[in-house]
Amino acid sequence: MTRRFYFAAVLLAVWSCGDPVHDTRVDALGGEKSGVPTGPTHRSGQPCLTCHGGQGPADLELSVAGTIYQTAAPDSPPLEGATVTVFDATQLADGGAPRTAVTNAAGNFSFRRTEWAPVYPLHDISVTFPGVAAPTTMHTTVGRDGSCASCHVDPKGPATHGHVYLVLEPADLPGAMP
Amino acid sequence: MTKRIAFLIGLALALAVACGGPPDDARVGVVTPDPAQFPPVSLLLDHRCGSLDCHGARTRNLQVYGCEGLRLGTATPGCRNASGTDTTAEEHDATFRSLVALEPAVMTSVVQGKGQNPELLTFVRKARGTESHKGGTLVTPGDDQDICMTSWLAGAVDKNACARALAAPVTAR
Ligand code: HEC
Ligand code: HEC
Repeated sequence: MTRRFYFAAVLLAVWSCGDPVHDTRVDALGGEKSGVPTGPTHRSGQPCLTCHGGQGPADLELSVAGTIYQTAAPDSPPLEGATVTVFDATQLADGGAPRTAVTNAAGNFSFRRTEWAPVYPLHDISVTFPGVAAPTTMHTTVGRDGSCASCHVDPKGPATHGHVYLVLEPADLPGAMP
Repeated sequence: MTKRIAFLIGLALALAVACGGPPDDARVGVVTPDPAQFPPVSLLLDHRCGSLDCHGARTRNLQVYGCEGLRLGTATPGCRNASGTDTTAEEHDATFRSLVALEPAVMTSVVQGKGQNPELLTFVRKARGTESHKGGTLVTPGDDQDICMTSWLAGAVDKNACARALAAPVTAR
């Protein structure tokens, strides 16, 4: 009797050490898209740190990551070759030395935690692209979440700002964009 | 056997106590600082505390609404300079109500005491980092952000301090 009780208690303790909330968040993102290899170009538009934030399932730990699209349209293609600039709390927007990353063919960019573990809040985040006059700058600070897609998911709503884009309309894109 | 009966009686008693309580229409009053003077404070809270991953989340006890984070009603995301709507009166009001409802009794006594000992309020201690705060230490007693909040609690908001605080660069302490 008592032995069975202890056994149950141990099982319960083991079970409650996993993080069901985290597991649910990972599961909600679904499987890999067919034809896209698991790697730097996968899962564009998703909150990368849900899996790459240190709690698994991915081994590679990222500190800040996301996806940039060409325009604000919900069906916009991704933007390759954009520079994402991020300041952390140790860097003044005026004169500080921000971190930059360039987006790949899927519009994805990322910073590995081993190369940069930023001090929050992040601020003055911007996206630039050759041939586009002004950077698209975010005014809001980021308090704790390194995934752009935690706040930038479609459709736009009270608690989301839609995906991150360079320009509003295709007509504003520089010359020969696809 | 008798033990089990005693346990059941105890359980029933506990449940009865838990279900009793003040009448459904009872109200806990709160004496608040002036809501009309709140907008400059609200804009600062939105800027420093209200990002969507912090107090701009509906799951927080203190909920901050505004154009830099969580929107209400028909307001479109982003401030005007990000092709959205600047913080609305409805949003200032929602942030106000969330803030004064956190600790109604403490808020009442701080306001009645003309803003003496603002640190009795948990939100002031959290912002100053004197109480555990996931968002860290954001203000130093006596700096513009601190004066913005505490002057409002004391009855006469220092708008200039609020404006300077809003424009100040974001740095770590
Ligand atoms: C649903 C979980 C999940 C999401 C979301 C996710 N990844 Fe991954 N990612 C993985 C897994 C699992 C691997 C396999 C390698 C590993 O474990 O690190 C991987 C691999 C990678 C790799 C290669 C790692 C290596 O060591 O070769 C990169 C780079 C990467 N992901 C970037 C991203 C980016 C950028 C995003 C967001 C746009 C993202 N991932 C979103 C789960 C995810
Ligand atoms: C905590 C939530 C949050 C996170 C995380 C976040 N953003 Fe934002 N972002 C916003 C909000 C809210 C706005 C709209 C208001 C503004 O411009 O500040 C915005 C606006 C922007 C804009 C300007 C868009 C426009 O319409 O003018 C850009 C560009 C941007 N974000 C890029 C990024 C990038 C890149 C990342 C990831 C490194 C990121 N954001 C992470 C909340 C967030």
